[in-house]
Amino acid sequence: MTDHTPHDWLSPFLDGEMTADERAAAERRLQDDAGAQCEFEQFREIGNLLRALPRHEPPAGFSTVVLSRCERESLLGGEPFDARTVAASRANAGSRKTRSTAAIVASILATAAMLFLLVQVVSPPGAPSRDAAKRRESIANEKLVGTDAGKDRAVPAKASAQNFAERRSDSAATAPNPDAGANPAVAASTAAKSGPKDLSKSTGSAVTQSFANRNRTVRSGGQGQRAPGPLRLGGGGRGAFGATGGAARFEMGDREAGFRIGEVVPYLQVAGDRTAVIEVTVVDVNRAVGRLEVLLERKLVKPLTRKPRQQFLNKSELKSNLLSLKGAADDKQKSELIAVYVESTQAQLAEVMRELDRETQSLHVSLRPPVALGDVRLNADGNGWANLFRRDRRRSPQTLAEAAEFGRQAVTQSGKANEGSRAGVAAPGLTRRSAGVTKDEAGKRKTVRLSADKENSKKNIDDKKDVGNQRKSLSDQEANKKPADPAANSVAAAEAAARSFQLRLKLSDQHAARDERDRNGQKERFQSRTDPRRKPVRQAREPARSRGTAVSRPVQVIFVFRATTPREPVPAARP
Amino acid sequence: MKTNDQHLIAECLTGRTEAFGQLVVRYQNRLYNTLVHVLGSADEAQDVAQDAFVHAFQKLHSFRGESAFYSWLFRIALNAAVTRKRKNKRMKASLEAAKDAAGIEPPDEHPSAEPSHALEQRERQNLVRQALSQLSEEFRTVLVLKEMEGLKYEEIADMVECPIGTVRSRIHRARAEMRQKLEILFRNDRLAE
Repeated sequence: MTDHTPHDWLSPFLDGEMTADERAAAERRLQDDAGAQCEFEQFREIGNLLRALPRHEPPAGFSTVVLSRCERESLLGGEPFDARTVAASRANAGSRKTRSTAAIVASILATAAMLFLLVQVVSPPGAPSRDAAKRRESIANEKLVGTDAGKDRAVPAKASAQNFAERRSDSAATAPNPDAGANPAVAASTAAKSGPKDLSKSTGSAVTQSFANRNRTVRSGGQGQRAPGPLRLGGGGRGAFGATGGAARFEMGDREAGFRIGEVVPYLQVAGDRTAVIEVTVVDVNRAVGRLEVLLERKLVKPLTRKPRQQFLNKSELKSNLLSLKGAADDKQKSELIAVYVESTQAQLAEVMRELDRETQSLHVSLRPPVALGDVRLNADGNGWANLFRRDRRRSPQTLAEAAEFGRQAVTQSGKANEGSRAGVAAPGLTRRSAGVTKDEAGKRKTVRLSADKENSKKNIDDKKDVGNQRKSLSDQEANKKPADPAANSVAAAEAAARSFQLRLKLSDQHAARDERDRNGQKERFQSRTDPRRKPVRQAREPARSRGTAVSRPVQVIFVFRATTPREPVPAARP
Repeated sequence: MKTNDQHLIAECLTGRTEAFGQLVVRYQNRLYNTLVHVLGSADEAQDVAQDAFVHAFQKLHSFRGESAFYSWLFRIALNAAVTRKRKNKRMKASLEAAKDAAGIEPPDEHPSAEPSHALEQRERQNLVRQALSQLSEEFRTVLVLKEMEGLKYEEIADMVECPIGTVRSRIHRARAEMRQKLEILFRNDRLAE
């Protein structure tokens, strides 16, 4: 304190904080001391000045804000307050009551949303509620018409939808553990048999997802069960794929479980040197193929970008065949079909399939019997790649399998083997997309090429009978040319894709040089076969078949993407 | 007043929180005005006043009624101000800043508020406000409570939680400091007389 005056009695005297005796004494001192009088007056003046300062008032709504804060802090568990007060604060009148009600409603809604999300997270997709079953049932009664997104919906049968929901509920009730083993489940498909439906133009993602979710084939709860479906394998057990056609279904409907390595690897191992054929039924083929391309890129499966020679792709002939098929078939039954040939390791392939199932709305996936490409005789109708293999036939076992081996060796010699796995997306004949994908707009035409081989055509016909072909009205001759069975078409497309891929391999520089030598004469070709320089090639071929572990062994797989349509429902598995 | 406050507090404790609303309305202007002068910032005063009312609402069951409700409330406000000051460290004991933050000065509706007189009045107020802001917070608090709130030493002692003798000493020292700071003003007044 800078100036501690001795008149410290002035303040109590001024403020009236003295007893009567003290006050009387102070008055006497004040009368005798002029300095004290001056100071006393100034103290009084200070008080007047302070009281003359303008008074400040809180802003409007201050009390409302305060009360809101009081209520909020109490409800949010601040300092514990009287429970009665907290309870009563919810029943306030006026604006507070409105805010309180709104807050309660908001909290209820938030809680409901949290519970819904929690159920979605905890419960597997395959465990819908009864309400969901009813919803599907109601959806099943809808009709799919036109391309409108709101109307493009599949119409699963009522019983199928109910069964679908029940199966999913049952599977959920029986501990749906995604890691419960690598057991291929039996297809419990939704046999949609109602109404005219056309999804050929419905490519919207919303429609795709909606349709896929409704038509998705589900995994049953059984362990290791296999449905003796229409396309039954000769061996019966998993992985015991016969060579005489038929298909074993590895359903991957359960999105969470997905397709496991344990399901794919045995199949690939059984396939051995043959080319595995995996048929994927989707709603939007283009989207699924696009996703597969991306996934292959992620897994370092390089696309095969070498462009085939144009003379090997006789577009005019293919176009004529296509037109003839189109004329014979119902236009509404056109289905998009794209085959993708992939060379990769088993691990890569399994990962790709798992992610493909996760990212696309694949309705079901069938692991078809592996194709021994050598068994497929080429027709002699003279398209480019057929002629190519006819030339090879004169000097080799004339099988596509061996041609594929030649092609692989050619690629190896050209240094492309260092790039690792590779994939070629192909279907003969039509435009090639920028990403190296050749699109097949009608897989039926491939059956024309296959028809030259009567034996294989007979197989196709047998397969067609097994699955209950929808085109029984076609004549046998026409059926030989174009097996109407979509599954057969898929196999044919796969085989054609493989041949197209082999064609591309043939176009490597080494192979072109070999063709040049072939053109020099049979003698020279004989000499070339007996040339010791080819021995390293043969020696290199043998280790290639046995090197590596099971998951690192290179495999050849043909993905066949086919679009499902309501007219072509997902095949149902027998119970 | 005190009896009325206790009645409202009792009602509030029984679950009728509207009673606390009445207490807020009753004391908000007084508390806010005091806090503006004590803290020197309108924004700070508003926040502290809100915190004080909220804390009072939460601890209302602990109010024993031995002192006036406003004394108890102001003590909570002072504690809240201290807590807030520690957190923010942006307390500015500047009444000039409080004036700026408060925006437009409340109009003086006194009949003598003529233009020439208003300018002089504003000058005097600025001097007083500046002198007050230069006091320490302890002196400023007790002085404001005494001069502007008209509280007794006992009440002030109860609010600031210190003995009455300390309050008396602080008040006297605060007045002495104000007297020094306003010496120019007093000299001009003597010359004017």
